[in-house]
Amino acid sequence: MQGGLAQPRSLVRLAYYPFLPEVRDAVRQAGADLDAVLASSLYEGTRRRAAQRIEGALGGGIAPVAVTDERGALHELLSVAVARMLCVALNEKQLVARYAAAEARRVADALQGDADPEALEQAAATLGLAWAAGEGGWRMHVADYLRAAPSGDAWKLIRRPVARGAVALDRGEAIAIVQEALQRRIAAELEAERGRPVPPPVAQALAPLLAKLEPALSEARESWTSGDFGPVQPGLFPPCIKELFEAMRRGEMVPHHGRFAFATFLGTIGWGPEQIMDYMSTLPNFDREKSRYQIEHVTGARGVDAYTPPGCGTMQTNGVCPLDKRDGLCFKIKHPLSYYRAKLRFQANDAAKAGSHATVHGSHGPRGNGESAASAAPSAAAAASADATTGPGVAAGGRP
Amino acid sequence: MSATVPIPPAAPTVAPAKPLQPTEFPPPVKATIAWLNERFCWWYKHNPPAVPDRFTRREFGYIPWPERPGPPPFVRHLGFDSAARFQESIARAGPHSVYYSTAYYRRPSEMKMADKQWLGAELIFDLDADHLADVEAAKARGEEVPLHEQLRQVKAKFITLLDEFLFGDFGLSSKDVWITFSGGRGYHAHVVEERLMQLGSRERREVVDYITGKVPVEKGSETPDVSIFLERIVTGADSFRGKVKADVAYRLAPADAPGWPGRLTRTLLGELEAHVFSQERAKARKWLLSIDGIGATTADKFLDKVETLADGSHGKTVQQLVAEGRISHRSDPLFKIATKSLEQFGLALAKGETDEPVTADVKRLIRLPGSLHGKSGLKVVTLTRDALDGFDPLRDAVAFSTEDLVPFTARKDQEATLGGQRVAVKAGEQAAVPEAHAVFWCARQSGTVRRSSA
Repeated sequence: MQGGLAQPRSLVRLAYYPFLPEVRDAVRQAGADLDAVLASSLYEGTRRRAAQRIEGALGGGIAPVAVTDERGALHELLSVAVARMLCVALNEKQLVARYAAAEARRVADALQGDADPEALEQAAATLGLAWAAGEGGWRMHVADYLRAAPSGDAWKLIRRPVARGAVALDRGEAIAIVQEALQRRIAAELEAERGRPVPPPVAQALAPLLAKLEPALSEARESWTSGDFGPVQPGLFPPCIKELFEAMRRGEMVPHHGRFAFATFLGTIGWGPEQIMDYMSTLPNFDREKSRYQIEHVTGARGVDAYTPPGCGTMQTNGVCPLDKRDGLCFKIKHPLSYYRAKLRFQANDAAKAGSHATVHGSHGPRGNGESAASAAPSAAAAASADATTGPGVAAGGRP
Repeated sequence: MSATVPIPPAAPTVAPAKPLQPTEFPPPVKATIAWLNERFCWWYKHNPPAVPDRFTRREFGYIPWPERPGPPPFVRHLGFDSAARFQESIARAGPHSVYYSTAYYRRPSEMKMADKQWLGAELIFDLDADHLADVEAAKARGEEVPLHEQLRQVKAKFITLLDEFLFGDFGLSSKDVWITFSGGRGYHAHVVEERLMQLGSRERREVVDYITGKVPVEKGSETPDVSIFLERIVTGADSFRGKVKADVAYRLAPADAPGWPGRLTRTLLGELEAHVFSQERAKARKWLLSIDGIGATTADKFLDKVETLADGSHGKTVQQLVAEGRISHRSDPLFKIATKSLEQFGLALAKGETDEPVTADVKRLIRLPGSLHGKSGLKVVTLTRDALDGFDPLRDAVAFSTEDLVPFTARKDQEATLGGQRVAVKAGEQAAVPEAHAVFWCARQSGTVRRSSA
């Protein structure tokens, strides 16, 4: 890699690892001034690179640049600071997640090509990762590993050699763990700031950049599955949720975990406690008043945060997932909500294909002006089959 | 009541259809419950349970003896500032069951879970005879495995969990794990290692998956995918009409490798040892054919290979090959037998057991060591790993006297051996039985005592 090996702590070298603790001092010493960075034409390139970082996060990743001198290093480091401000100002949860992932991936690539073994150790130490690096690779305490490992089958503990409480990792895996930790840290830091009011002078200075990024952002937004699920469509529920409703309808005792999954699922996709109770009150033996507190609690109506419905792994551990009733889509997703989202997306795509017949804004095509076909379709399609969203309509999906 | 109690996030209640229930106990039952309560008070007064560490940070709860039919209330969210105060309170109440939170909190006695402020929680492994395959199978047939046999089986499973996984793979030492007999029909392991106590629910579920050998299943199938444990090795290349094809062999980890990879090889080796290498050909063949997907051709070819290589004159024996994990090419009978048997039972034989939701839970109440189990009158006994081998709950967890006699009337014919004393009673007959037996049967609701007026 391009970093100067002869002077390991130089600014040039730090440019690749902006999260390291000495970056702050180094930048301060270099005498950069925030007002200038945001406004002066001297820092035009820095601001352009910041916007490029955001665009990269929205698209195919942040392109690496070769840093050859101190000035270049300063630009690179300052562009990270500006990019973070942009993330906060744009106030988009998905963007924060993408940005954190993209920065972390860029750092992982840099580590991959870094010949200095200290780079990886320094990154790990900064991120609070505890491991022992030795001849045969890296060894992590099993508890530390469980907390630090990315999700995904490849990282399941059962696939790892676990001996005397430690998990062995090779270099690529150690770098992936650093990447995961960095991604989580950036996301947490920006998430804490996101939506906070930006001081007016800063907001003013950022405005041109924000305007420039807006088209890329709105294009990306279309492909994101946002937190807005539109009207609830029981016909699209995953098999587990359908099963639960059927079991309740038959008057069977549904275990605690099942009821919890059902209520939190409906709560998350947009129903209030009253609607959930209305829905469940078609069940025999449903005691509305007894359930009110509990439903209000899990759906966040009583001041505590709403509970997220359990994922497929948890559902399986708790015996709620109907293993034999899973369909093809089940094997592609890891969370009942993803199943529902995917079904909504399929429905939207079908509606879009059906053209003006199904959508109000059909003529705009998939990338219309703001009000896209993709976001309009679910509600239109739902309106077209309104009876599917009322009362026992869910049974239509689950009945043999 | 199971040994541990899940704590909400609460979900909507769908009340079960209620059978008509009398509102009062018949007088003999009432008197029996009062007697049990009085005996428990007496016992706690003379045997105050030790309190768990950080006990001012723990939540306590108990189930009182029922005053009327139906589920009794659960008294919880209790916090204590001194051991003496806790012990007095227990001796005064003499409750049916006593629990404490595996979690410790900044404010344990807050009523809302969110206000308690979680600081960490023991990692709990709970094994109950109820969940043993044999016991479940017998239950499905309407039979019951004798209690001492249930206790023997569950102890064997518990020892596997401890030796293979907690002390083995996880490298825990005896000070990191509290071992208890639950007082009922199972055992608990409380892991108190600092880093593991900080794990959240997601990570604890991963621990469950590890111990219970949950490997990802192939799409659309229920067969575990053992191919993740196979290492692909290119041993050479063949070329045929200008096309080059890699020569690929597969390897499992060597039998002495750590973790699951080595465990699977050891299991395979153990199974082949027991059913093939040590058996006559006909018997071995029969066992091989019992594996789904293994036909006569594969079985015969495999047995030929075992015999040909047996004297070592052709290099390694099949035993040695398996121990090294060398299961050869896809077309080799050894490869087929190894993968098929691991899929079908190897994984199941090697896995550990634990009640999954209990281990995954970070906020649970669990029976207090040193307390009495209200369904047996047996004591929740804290054990060392060494003591576990010779431990017999029906002898060593007996809390009450096996000498003092109590007038007892049985509801059914039954017998029990407690503290080495075998006592049999007949339905409806009054008999003087040792106090330990009377408590045991009364707690199981299979008899009543007549309170002596003295």
